[in-house]
Amino acid sequence: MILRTRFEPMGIFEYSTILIAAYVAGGVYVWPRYLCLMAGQNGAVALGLSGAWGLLIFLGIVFWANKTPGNTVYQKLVFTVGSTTARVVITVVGIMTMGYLALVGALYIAVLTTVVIPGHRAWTLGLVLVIYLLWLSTRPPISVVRLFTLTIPGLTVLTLITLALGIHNAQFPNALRPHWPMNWTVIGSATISGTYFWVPILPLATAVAMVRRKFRRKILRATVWTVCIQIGLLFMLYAVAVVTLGPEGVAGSTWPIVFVFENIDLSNFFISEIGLGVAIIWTVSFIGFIAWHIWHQGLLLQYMGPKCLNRHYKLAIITAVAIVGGMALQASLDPKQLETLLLNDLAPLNFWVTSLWVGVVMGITLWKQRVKKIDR
Amino acid sequence: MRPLQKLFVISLVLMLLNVTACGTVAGINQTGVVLALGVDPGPSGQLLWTFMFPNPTITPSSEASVKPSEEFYTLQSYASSLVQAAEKISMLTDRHVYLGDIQVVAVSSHIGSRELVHVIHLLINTGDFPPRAWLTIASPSGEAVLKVSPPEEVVPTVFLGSYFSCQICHAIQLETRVWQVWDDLLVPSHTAVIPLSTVKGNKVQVNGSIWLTPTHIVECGRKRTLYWAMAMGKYRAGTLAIDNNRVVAEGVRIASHRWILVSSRHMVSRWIITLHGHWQSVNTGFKETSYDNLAEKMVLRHVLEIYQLAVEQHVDPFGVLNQVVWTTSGKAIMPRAEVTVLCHIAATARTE
Repeated sequence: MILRTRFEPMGIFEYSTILIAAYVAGGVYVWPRYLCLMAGQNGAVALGLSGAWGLLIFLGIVFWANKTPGNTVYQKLVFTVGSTTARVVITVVGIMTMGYLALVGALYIAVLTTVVIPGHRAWTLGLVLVIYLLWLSTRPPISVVRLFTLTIPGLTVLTLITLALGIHNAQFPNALRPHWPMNWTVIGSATISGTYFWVPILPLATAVAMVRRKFRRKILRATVWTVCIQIGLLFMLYAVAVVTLGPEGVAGSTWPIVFVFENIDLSNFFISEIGLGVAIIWTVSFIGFIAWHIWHQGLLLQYMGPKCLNRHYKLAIITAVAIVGGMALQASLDPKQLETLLLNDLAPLNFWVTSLWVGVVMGITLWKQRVKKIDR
Repeated sequence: MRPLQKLFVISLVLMLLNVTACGTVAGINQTGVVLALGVDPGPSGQLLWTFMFPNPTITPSSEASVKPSEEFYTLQSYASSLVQAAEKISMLTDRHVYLGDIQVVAVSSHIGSRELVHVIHLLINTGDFPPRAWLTIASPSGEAVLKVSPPEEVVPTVFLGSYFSCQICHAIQLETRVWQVWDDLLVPSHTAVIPLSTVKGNKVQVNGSIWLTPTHIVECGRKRTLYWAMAMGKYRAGTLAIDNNRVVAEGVRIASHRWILVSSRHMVSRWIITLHGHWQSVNTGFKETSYDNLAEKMVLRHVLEIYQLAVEQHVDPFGVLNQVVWTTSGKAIMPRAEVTVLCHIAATARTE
């Protein structure tokens, strides 16, 4: 079997946009509600703790990927823990990733068909997105990365402009303060549920391998910056929702951020439909993000899947995601149930599984480094 | 490109064209754009919904010759919900009723608190309805308020829509949006302040307000509404008369800064209210300091009076309970208020 494991390399900026793109797809429009439902006013504390976990996991993966030979996460895992364990890790995390993509996809379609284009049937939009995805995920990965370099900075600027406009509706600056005494049990649960955001983490190791050699030294620093930007954006979105609606209002609205953006009045501004611009560019970035993951899952299936799937692996992945997404949509278009699946069931599983495998590969890498030093 | 690929791409394009559902979008000639909505009580638990549309016969050239009363027209329907009412109007007019451009909602003052809260929830949960529309309580009815159209308003703006949008056209800023009222009922204060619009002859006056809680309504006349605006820093660029109207300050802006002070024994709501503006020193022997003093005492009296009223009525139109719950670990009980009024009204320097 000949695998295409040599990819067109990329620079630090391209690498950073891949990391930042996660905030587009991560269902940020549902997260604030759940944080406020679980931790009330202390949702910000839970968000900070989830972010700290995300940063640690990212740094762990980048450190390990940088020190380990191999062009893909599979090759690096085989080098570190052996073929059998690598297959187990990739299968478990791969299934979680597909579940995540399907759920956020179903949620995104639910948001679009309720708020942006109300009254349209969800399956038609889902079909269009799946077809576009199918095409985009068959392109070389650098195509999606270049799409990100166009859409992610634009989307980030648009999001910041919208946030700045949204501050006009801020009513409750006090609501953002941490509340004493803190109930650490509920904050802990909210923190773990918030880690759903970092479920699709495997392609990061492959992305590290795709960065040009002369930039490899800068990867760790770039990762810290990028994750901080990502968490900063999430925090800003959360903060605007809470100071506008209060924790009780955020918990009471289905999509707090969409609701806050929807209520921005631009009647005196020269752009009257900024929301439509955000929705279009957001959708393009969202599809790019999923296409990147589909491509990566396809790559992993090339190593691990049955031979009959080798030629149609991407079709297989997209079919699997679409089936799970379709089931989620069919089961219920009620976003609350989709959120429960994502935040109550998938997030805790991901928290323990990811903490375990990243911790183990980090530990092994550090131990190998120490042994090397002693040998010298 | 191979023939099979060509076939795939062509069928893909054809399919995509068919699934966009753009065919269901109505043209402007088949759409009735609602500019304002009136809600009045109806028989057997239903509501009377009044939809105000722009007159479709108006063109830019005919606008000057059309009477103000003919610029808009209203259609009414009894229904339990907004969508059912819109459906009835759609059937009646053979047009798609579009709610996305509603500027203002006028709800009758004869609707009780529970029903009013229900109406707010109905509006918020109607897909096309924009939650950013202004909300007002209407006296004698929502329909009556909508039907009054002053001559200065031209299609497509409606009077109350432009009234609430303007920040410099009136001294007291009472405007509130539907989403804000919905939200105010959720946060710990559980009180929304909604302006009251009253029909007087062929004019609409916004000269009062109501305090809405999930259980009851407190009606506030012109004076109480003014006092509330003073306490909340909602009084901007107005006048302030003291000493039996003998001395007047112009361009008065009242700023309000409120927070909670907690000590080991008790909790206090601390307010600093600052007056800015200019005295019209038209009287001989003008004494700025003594007038400052009079103004401070008057505003202090008004603010304490309105706070006392709120405590007696078990409502919190000041958001004090929000601050108590969010900034302290205390219970949601209205604390004692400590108010300081500072007068920074300067004398005009044009004449001595």
